[in-house]
Amino acid sequence: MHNYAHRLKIEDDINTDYVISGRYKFKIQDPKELAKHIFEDMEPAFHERIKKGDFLVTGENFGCGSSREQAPVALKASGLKAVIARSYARIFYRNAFNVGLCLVECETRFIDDMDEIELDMEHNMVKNLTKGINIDFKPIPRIMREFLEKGGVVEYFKEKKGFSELV
Amino acid sequence: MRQTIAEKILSEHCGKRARSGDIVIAKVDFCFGQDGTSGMIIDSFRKMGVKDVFSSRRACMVIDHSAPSPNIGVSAIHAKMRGFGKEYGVPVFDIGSGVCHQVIPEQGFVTCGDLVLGADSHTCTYGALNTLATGVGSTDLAITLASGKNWLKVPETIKVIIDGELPKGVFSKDVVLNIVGDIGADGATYEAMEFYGEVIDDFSMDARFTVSNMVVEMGAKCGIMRADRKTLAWLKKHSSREPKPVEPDNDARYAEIREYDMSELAPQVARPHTVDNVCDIEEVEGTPINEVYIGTCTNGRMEDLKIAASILKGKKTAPGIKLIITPASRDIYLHAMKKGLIGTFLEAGAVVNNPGCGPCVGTHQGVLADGESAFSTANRNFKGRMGNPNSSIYLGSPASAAATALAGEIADPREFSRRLK
Repeated sequence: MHNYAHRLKIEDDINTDYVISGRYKFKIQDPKELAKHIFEDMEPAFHERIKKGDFLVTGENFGCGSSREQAPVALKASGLKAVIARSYARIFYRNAFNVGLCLVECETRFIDDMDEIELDMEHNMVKNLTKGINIDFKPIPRIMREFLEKGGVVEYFKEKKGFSELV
Repeated sequence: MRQTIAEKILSEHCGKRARSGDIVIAKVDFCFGQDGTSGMIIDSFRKMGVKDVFSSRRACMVIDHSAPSPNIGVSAIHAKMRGFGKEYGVPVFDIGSGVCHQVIPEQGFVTCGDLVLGADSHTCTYGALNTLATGVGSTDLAITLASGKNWLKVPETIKVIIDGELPKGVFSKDVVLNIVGDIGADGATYEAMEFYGEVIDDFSMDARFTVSNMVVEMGAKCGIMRADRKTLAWLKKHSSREPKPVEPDNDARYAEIREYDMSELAPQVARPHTVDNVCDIEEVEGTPINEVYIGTCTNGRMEDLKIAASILKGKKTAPGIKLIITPASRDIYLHAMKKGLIGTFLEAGAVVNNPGCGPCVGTHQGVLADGESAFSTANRNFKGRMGNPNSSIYLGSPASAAATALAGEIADPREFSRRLK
C-alpha cells in the first residue's frame, strides 16, 4: 500500500473557509458530500487526487479562522490519514482530534507533492520514502492520542462516563 | 503569585493554581452555539447519551449566521435547534435577535471573571468584559453542554499597551487592524492577550468589543481587558449577575510586552485575501468598490451606526454602489430607529437588513458577483468569504466604509472630519 503527500499551491495560513466554504457548511450535512468540496475556492479538483490513507502536507498556521468543525470532518471523510503541517491554529487543532483526525506537527519543507510518505506513530516520525529521510514530529499529548484511538472525544467521553478521568 | 488574568481565571475555574503550559479541566460559566455550529453540537450531544444539559441557564443557541433561512438545508438546522431548545429548556434566540456576540452580552449572560466557551471563533469578543472567552468547535461545545466543563491549555499572555490620542477619523477598528498587521495571522497562536493603555481607557465599550473581537485573527485564544468604571456600568445596565473583576498580579509573567503609540495612526485597511495584509488607507484610496457592508460582530453596534450615519446624513451613495447595513441586534436596531439613523441610511440609498450576521459569511443577503470588490466592516476577508471565490474583500472602519459608499471607491473618512465628532 503506497500513500502520497499532497501539497496545495498556498503554503501558510490556510484558513477553514478554504478547507470548506461557508456556502457548503450550512447546506450539506453528509461528510462524504462535504469532502467533495474541500479547498474548492483554491484548487477546485483537489479532492480527486486524494486516495485513502494519503496525507495533506502544508506550512504554518493551518486551519486558522472560523471554528467550523466541518473542516476536520470533511478532511477526515476525504480519506486523508493525517495532516502534516509546520503549525496549526488552536481551534482547528482541538476540533481535529475531537473528531478523530490525526494532526502531525513537524518541518514540512522536505516533503514535495506526491512524495511517498509513511507515518510512524510509535517513534513520532514522518518517513519520506521518496527522499529517504525521516522527520521527527512533535509528540502528540496523551489525551489527544486517546481521542484518536477511540475515534474521537465523544467515544472517549462515553467510555469514561464524563470528564473526571480526562488529562 | 505572578499570574496573568488568564491564569487567574483558569485557576479559579479548575480549583488549583494554573500556570501557562498546564492542561486543566475547568468549569465553564456559559456556553453557546450558533446556526453554523449547532447542528453538529446537537448530533455530538445526542451521541454522548447523557440525559440532560449541565444547566439550561448557562447555555443558549443563537440563530444568526443564515437568518432568516435562505434554503431548505438551513431551515432544517434552524428547526433542529428550536426542537433541541424546547426539549432541554435551552434558550434559542431566533431569527432577527441578532449576532450571538452582541446578543449574549446584551442579555446579561456573561460578566467579569467568567470562563466562556462558544462554538464560534469570535467568542473572544467578551474579553472586553474582563472574561476569558474563547471559541471552540461543535463537539467541544457538546462536551461542555453535557458536563459543564472542558479541558484547556493554560495560555501564555502577550501584554499590549496602546497609548496616545487617536486622530479624528481614526477608530478602534483601525487600531486593531494595525495590531493584526503588526503581529500577523499566527503571531499570537495559542496565547492570551491583555490590552491596556490610554487608547483602551478612552474607548467606549462598543469600541472595546471591536478590539477583543479581532484577536482570533492573530491566532489568540482570548483578548482580555481589565474592568473599569465603564465596564461595570455597562454590566450593571445589562446583567443581574455579580461581576468579579480580575486584575493581573503586578509582577505577572508575560511572554511578551508590546507597546504602541497610535497618535499618528491613519485609517487602516486590510487588503484581500488575508486580515494581516494591512496598509494605510492612502495606499488603496481610489480602488473601485461595488458593495459596502456595515455591520457584523466587529462593527454592527450603536456607536458604529452613529459614525456611519454622521457621514451618510443628507447624502446619496455613489451610482452602482450596493450599501448594506446590518444592526448587530434587535435592541440596536430599535435604538437606531428611535435616533433616526435607519431613516438616514434609507435616504442615503442603503438596504438595512434584519439583525444577524448579514452577508459576512457568504450565505445570503449580499453575495458578490465574479470580479466584484467589497469594502466591509467585518473581521475576515478570506477569498470566498462573502460567497464568491472570484471576488475581493477590503476591511476597514465604519467611517471608512461610509466614505467609500459615497465615493464609489475606497475613500479616506478624514475628508469628512467636520462631520465626525
